[in-house]
Amino acid sequence: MKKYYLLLLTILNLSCIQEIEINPDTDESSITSFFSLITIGKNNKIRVVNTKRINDLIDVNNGHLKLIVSSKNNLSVPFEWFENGNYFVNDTFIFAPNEMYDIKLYNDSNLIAHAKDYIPSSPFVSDAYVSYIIANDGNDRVIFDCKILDEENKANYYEFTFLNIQYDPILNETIFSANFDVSRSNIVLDNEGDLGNKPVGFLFSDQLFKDSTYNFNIEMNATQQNYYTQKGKTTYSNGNYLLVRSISKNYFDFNKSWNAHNYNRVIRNSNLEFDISTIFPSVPSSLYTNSSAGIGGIYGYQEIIIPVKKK
Amino acid sequence: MKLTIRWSIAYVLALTAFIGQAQIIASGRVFDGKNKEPLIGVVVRNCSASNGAVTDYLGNFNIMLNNLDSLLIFSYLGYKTDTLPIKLNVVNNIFLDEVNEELSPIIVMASKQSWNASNISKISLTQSDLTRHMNYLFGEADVLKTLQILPGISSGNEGTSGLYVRGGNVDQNLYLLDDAEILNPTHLGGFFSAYDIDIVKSVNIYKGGFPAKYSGRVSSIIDIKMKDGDAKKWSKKFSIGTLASKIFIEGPLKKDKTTMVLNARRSILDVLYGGLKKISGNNTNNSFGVYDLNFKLIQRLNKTNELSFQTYLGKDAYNISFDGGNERVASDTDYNVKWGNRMIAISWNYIRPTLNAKSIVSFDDYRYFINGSFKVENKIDKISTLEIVKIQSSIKNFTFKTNWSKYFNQNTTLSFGASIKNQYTNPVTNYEQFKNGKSVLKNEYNNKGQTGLIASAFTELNKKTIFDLEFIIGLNISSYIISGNKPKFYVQPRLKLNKEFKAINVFTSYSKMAQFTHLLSSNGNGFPSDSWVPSTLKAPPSTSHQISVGASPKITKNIELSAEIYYKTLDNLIVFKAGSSIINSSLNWEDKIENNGIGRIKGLEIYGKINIQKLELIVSYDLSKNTSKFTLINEGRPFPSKFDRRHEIAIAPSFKINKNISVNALWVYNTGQKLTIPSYTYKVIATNGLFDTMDSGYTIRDAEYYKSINNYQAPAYHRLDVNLSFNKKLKKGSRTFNIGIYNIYNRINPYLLFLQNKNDKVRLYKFGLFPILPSINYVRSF
Repeated sequence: MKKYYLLLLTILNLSCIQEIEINPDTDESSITSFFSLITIGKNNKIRVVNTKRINDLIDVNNGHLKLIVSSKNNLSVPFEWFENGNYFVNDTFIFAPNEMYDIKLYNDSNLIAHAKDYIPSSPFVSDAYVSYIIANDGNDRVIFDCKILDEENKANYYEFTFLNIQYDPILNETIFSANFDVSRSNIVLDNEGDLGNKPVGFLFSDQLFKDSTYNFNIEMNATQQNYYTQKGKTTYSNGNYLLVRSISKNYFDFNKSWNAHNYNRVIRNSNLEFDISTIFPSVPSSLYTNSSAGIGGIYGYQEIIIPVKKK
Repeated sequence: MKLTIRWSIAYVLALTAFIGQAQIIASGRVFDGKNKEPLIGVVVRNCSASNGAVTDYLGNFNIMLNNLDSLLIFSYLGYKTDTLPIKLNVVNNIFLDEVNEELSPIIVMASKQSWNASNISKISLTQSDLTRHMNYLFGEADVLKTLQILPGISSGNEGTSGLYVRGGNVDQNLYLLDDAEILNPTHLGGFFSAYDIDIVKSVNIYKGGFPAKYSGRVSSIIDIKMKDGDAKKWSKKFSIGTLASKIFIEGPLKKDKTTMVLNARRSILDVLYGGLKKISGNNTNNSFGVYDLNFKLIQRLNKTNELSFQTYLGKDAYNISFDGGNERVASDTDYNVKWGNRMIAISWNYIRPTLNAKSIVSFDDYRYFINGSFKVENKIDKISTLEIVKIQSSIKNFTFKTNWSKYFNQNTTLSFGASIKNQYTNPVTNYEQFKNGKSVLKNEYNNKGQTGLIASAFTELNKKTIFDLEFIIGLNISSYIISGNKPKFYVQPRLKLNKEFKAINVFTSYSKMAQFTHLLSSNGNGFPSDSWVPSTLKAPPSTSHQISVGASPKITKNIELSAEIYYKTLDNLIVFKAGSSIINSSLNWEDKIENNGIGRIKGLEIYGKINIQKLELIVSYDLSKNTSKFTLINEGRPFPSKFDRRHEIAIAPSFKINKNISVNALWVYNTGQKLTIPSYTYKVIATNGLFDTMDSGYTIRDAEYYKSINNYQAPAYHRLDVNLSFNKKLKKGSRTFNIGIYNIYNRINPYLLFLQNKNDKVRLYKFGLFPILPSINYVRSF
């Protein structure tokens, strides 16, 4: 009887995992396009991107391609190839707000991809405050407040990031950390419906406060979720900051699709055989694009960083 | 509303034109002479004329006589054929005696009815049909598992519950047990069901050509009739198998008046498993637990009236745990699923010559609960994250329905009836995240329950005209009312035509059906995680239109062959939006769905049954194409459905070696399921504003490009099962010993498919639940 039990146990415990060779129907030629976030006052760079079949080695050598940016008030100017698929725009080309830019990618004289976008006006945000509380559950919480003055007579889109900047004199480096860990949302973010995708920046439209002043209030867990260190001291003193971007509709749509795409990847992390998104997956989605090639695109934004005072 | 009234008037006028004058009609009920159980499908023939009739699920028959002294012949498989005089204006009770000799395996019916049985859209099975091809998994025979032999009926992945009928989803099947609904009758991921073979008297499966009395589901009706119980003597049966042990009792509480049937099962897997863990020291936490109970009580008040009380209780619970990780990260996943049905019903059967009625009041309650916890621990940073997901879905139905059937003459029967159902649906999802043991995020997507009222009325005329053309025309009108809103009417016409030629029987049908609940399932590649939601203004009731044409040639009495082509459209389907799943958003479920989805399914089904002496062989084949279309998924282009299986084949031989030993086998082959894998990958600049702001350069991240949804076909599903039965008659009762082997060539069929990046290479993995599985089952009856 014990033998039978052991046989049954073996059967029940067999973790029947087998590998299957993937042979997806991707035999058509690779797509080539470009990707860029464009803004004002920075050396805007653009990256030429190629698709590759999964498990193929990446091969980026697009130095022979020609990228041209043009606008109503500027002459067409070619980007300069830098390295590894990256291009920089020529210094003579000055980006300005609310002007439509058209970027075109050529292989010889053949147009492969083109995309258009504009850089919105600088956002108006004031009265940014932070307060610390201990919640009923005993955990530390941070409450951020600020006022958004929505630009009138147009649809506006925003991206918020809550920053903490600390300079470490011993290591001589500045640590930038960001908090994305929401414990109590607000009606504007709830209306967007993508907090469940664990975004790394809060994207929202002015749909619910059009042409008016909105008191943005959010409660977060007192944790740091993402950080970056930079050698040396920066112009920012230690403290809390709010990074606010006014963004184009294309930027908004792209980033929303990125949040969903990133959270719902069908290729799993090698460390974890079964994680929560394996159990409850959603329909995978491709990224939003405004490029004629079907991937990539250009997305405009303008940003300000304002200090957040303690209440 | 105006359109509904016009439809109704036109239909009633059409009916009155077709109903002919009443003639001399004899009525009665046919019972087993030994236990007084009503017999379904008994062929009744008029000696002095060519007409005949077949008994219904209550054993009732009506037959037209050409003179007052007519004799009737009653014939039924396994029973002595009897010729009896008949009385007019009363319900004649006829008792047939079983033959003593060993029965032929061939199912003998009168020739005309035998050809009708080959209509693939509606298949009727008796208990002996089911017993013959019973598939024993873990030693447990099951009705729903056996139905998958039939063309156009398949299961999903291994270990998933429910049936996919002609491309419909698992929520699109209406399961009835003696006319009371059981929402999800499956146990243990679909391996067996609430319908134990011992309680089942007959099964009718409708895949198309739906009778007008049925409504509420768009793909199939599985109408199961339960035994009434032996009216003469008590009989008992107990069995013990690898999966479950059970007890079955039937008998008269008052001879010929009051009978009962009780069947109770409990899985012994959890008991065995606990013991096994102690013996082996194994620390796995996988476990399964199941119980169910069926009880029926019949009170025959007189020849005309019969009352019955019935209840079903069933509950499932299973737990799957996985540990994973490496030297840096450890993960611990714990996934618990529980579901259960409760049903209670009281019905009244009214049996008069030429008029039968059944009225039923029932309450059914279905609950589904998932509790998942997912723990990830970073061993280096000493940070642990725990996510807990709770999903609950419940539906409560309170139903009254009454169905009447009036027999006018051998060529004309009229059915009519009405029903009203109060349906309460409540889907709830909770999500909570903990970091190092502290709760940091809590979302309760507690949708308020919704009550809907569904009222239906139907009428149907079954008419045989000259040249042996039989047509059934019906109309079902259902209205759906959500509280605070105006009712919406769904007019569902039904039409079925059968024409019998000398060498072939041809049939065609059209049906429209409506469904007032949805099962919101993930379209991704993952564990089954379903949530029942009500039809709402944003997710209106689904509807289907189906047309089919088929033929059944008359070859010999030992060979049944039938083929049918069908085309089905489904409207108002719902699915999660791309990027949304059951847990990953703070939005209400209605804001996370794509609605107004369309399904298109077309197929060819072939069914053959051959009897050669001791061998019976069933072969079925289904060729189909199943696509879906949603405005915002796959750029609005149609895409293959998850279970778009081009080919489905089942071969089921059954061989009686001698009077005590029989062997049966089942080989099934299904084209692999569809899943979405990236067509390409490419690099994007990460849009994390932090890095870009600091002008540190840029972060490059991988992005995937999906050319289309469900663009990859997984390897095929196939397996072979074999079962050997040893029967022996004892001084008191009998005993049966079943030995079975499931998946005899150890095919790993996927329960879950997932892509994983290992050593910079993306690989597809399939996770199977059941390799080769031997089983035993012992049954003792007395």
